[in-house]
Amino acid sequence: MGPKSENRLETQTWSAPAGEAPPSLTVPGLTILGHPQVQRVGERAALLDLSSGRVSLLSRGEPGFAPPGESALRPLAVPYLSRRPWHFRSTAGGGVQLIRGDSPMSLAANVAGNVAGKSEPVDGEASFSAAEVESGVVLLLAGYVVLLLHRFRPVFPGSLPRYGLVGLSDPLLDLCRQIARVADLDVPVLLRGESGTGKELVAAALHRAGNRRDRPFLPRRRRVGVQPVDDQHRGLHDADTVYTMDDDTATQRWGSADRQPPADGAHRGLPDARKAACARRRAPPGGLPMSPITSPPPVLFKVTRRRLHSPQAAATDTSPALAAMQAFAALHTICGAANTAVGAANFGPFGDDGSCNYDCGFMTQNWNWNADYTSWAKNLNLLPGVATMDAGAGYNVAFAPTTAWLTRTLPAATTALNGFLGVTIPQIDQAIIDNGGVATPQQTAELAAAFNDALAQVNLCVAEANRSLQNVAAFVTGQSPRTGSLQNLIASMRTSIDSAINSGAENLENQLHCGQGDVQDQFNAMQTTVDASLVSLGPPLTAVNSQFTAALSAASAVAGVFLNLQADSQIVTEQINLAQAQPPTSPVRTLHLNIATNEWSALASSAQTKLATS
Amino acid sequence: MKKLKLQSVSPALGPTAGMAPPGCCRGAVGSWPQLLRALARIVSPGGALNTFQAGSPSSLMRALAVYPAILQADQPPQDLYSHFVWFTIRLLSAAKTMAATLRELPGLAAGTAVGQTLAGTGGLKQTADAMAQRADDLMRRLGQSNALPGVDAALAGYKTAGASLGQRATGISAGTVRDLALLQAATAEGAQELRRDLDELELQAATVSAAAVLDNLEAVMRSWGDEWRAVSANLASVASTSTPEQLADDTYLRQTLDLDRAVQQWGALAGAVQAYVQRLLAPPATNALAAASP
Repeated sequence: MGPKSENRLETQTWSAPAGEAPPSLTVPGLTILGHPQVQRVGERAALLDLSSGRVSLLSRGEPGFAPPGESALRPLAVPYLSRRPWHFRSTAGGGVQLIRGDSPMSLAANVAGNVAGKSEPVDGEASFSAAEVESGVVLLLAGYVVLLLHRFRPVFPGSLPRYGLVGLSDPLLDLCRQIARVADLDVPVLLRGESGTGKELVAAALHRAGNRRDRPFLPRRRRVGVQPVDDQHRGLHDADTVYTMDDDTATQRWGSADRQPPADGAHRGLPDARKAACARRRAPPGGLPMSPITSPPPVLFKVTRRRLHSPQAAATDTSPALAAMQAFAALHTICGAANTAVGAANFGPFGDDGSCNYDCGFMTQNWNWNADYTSWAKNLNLLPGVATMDAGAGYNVAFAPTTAWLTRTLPAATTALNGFLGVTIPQIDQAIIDNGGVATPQQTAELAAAFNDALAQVNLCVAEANRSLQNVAAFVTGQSPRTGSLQNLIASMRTSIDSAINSGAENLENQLHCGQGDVQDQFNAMQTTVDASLVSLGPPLTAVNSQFTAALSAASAVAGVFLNLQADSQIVTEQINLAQAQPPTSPVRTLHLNIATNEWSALASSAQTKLATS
Repeated sequence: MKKLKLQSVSPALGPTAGMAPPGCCRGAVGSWPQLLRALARIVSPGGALNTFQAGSPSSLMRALAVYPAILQADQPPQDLYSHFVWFTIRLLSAAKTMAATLRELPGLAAGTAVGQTLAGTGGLKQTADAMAQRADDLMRRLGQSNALPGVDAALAGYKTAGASLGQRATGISAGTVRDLALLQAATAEGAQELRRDLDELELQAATVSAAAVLDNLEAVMRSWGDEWRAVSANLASVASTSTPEQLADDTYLRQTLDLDRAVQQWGALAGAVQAYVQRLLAPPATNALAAASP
């Protein structure tokens, strides 16, 4: 491909598609990074007033947020955020100023990328430069809601294909656009990025969207200084072969004295020598002599960590429930491998034809070790044993009530509690205060009912959570004795077969008066072969046992999540009781109600995050 | 686990330096597998301690499979491990309550209300006092458990038998005493006697080991009790030495009492304990309890 076509393709790749907002048309706005309702993470609000020089507000009720591409706006609506707003103002040069005004709501800020630093409480006001807003400013509201103040394009391209990539940020959407524009072109593609940024995911997306999507996709890791040899790919015509090498690795390579970065023209326009990371090539007939990283790449992507670490992805990164589910899925795979190994075990010359013959000249003895092995190990012990260890289905059944609790009971209880603690009780209290602090009998009764109902909601929800815990605990308890059982089976089987061999040898020796040495040699050889075959089963069965233990440990961690939830619910119950013990006019009552509401929100958020399985 | 380091001087409203993660629970649970191994030897037939309820993650899991609210009861469970977990869950609740309550203080805008929240009925001081009491209770129970039947005699016998065996196997490392001594004595008339001595020594060693672990746990709980009493005293001191006007003043709370740092430190402690609690049901062989300790 000549330089002319390179230039043309580069220009096309980076230009914005017709009808879509060019990248420069961004506005300041807020994206939810953390919220008691975890499903709201990723919603955003464009602060359009700032662009026109007006003031934007931030409170419990303002601004309205919506998932990208959707128009129905919802306020943050977290009860412990104040209704009295902070004010956003634009400053000269494109910066943003935050002003507390009379808002009692605490707010802390941290400029994105300031990894070493911590969020700083904002007392009266704070100003952020255009560059800081561009890179993102993290705002922590009242210690619970986390927002990102940054710039983004207000128009969301809903029809843009996503290729399975997670995230809604502008850079990620740009990446999807670029994939869409080059996927069906028969050109090499170079992906750049640091280790772990997801180059291979993008390569896979390119493959799925490309014309060779029905052909193999061959990701290969490339080591520093090693020229890839494609002998393995000979004959794989039209495959997509991906060679990956990280930016930092590439730097090492081109930093060496004997291999300089390609001259101008090879990677025109790139800022430094860190050029190549992941290249898609079409494997030609007869194999692919790689020249690769130094060949001119007409299309350049830069994959960064930020694109693949979206808030949505982060929300599920640490779920013990997901880890447990994955551990049981891995166990299933390993059990399959162990099944194969058990089925493949053989006894060499003593088992190939299903029998063993020993002829001492006048007497022939037959042993069919494979038959013994098949009936004893495959049918009666090992295969059923491995099947028993494959406990994923049982775990899923045990975990099912947890999912039901998460999706139905917990949200319903949260809504009800917010109503009692955040609306009903404060309203009655306020009416009593307005009445000079004297409660009518009806108000007293209503308050008692509201507190009782709130406590009942907590108790009902916790009781169902406890039943979920009970299921998981019963599952783990039922499975635990199986740990090590395969090793016991193998040892038992080996002992049994060895015993049979020894006994056979002794019997034969007793019948023979000649050739005892030959008999013993023959039986020793049998035993060696049989033992070796059994030993070969050790690694796959040990792998099953190891993964089984890991999966049970992961399930135990899920049960551990419930212990944390029990601690949280204990706080909520105590705080509701403490609030009820205070008179309606006491600010301490409000404090306890706020803590109860906040802690329940934290409980709900923690449960949704740690027990999420998708 | 990420190590969190509190500054050397904690705010008056914050946790004491002795509560700083990491390490505040390490002494207690890191040695639990050792305790279980020792107890397994002791409670074997002929052992001195066949009624001791040590408990374990797996026994707690079995209990939860029957009665999932066992750790929510007002009274701690019967076995030591579950009692320890019961205490740790309350430690988590207390740390979270401290952080959440202190965070809300500036919004009260009433000095008397702040004072009440710190040291009044249902206030933080009561939370600290209750935790001190719970730590003391567990400490006392550990003290009772520590009086293992025959532990003193076992310790004395261990020393005597060890010295005797040492004379018989001079120069042999402790780990190989048994095998080599048996080998040497295999053809001697005293083989049977030596075997008896070695069995007795192992039993005594296990008893001493278990006693040492329980003694360590007891010390940890004594420390927790002292730390919570110190927190309680600090809260009482702040409430009594500050005027209502001062307590109603955000500047006083935030700057003089360093409220924000206290909130952060209680939150850090709660976060560390929360991560720790999540692992308390995993089997000892796989949960790396010591490494996970806050």
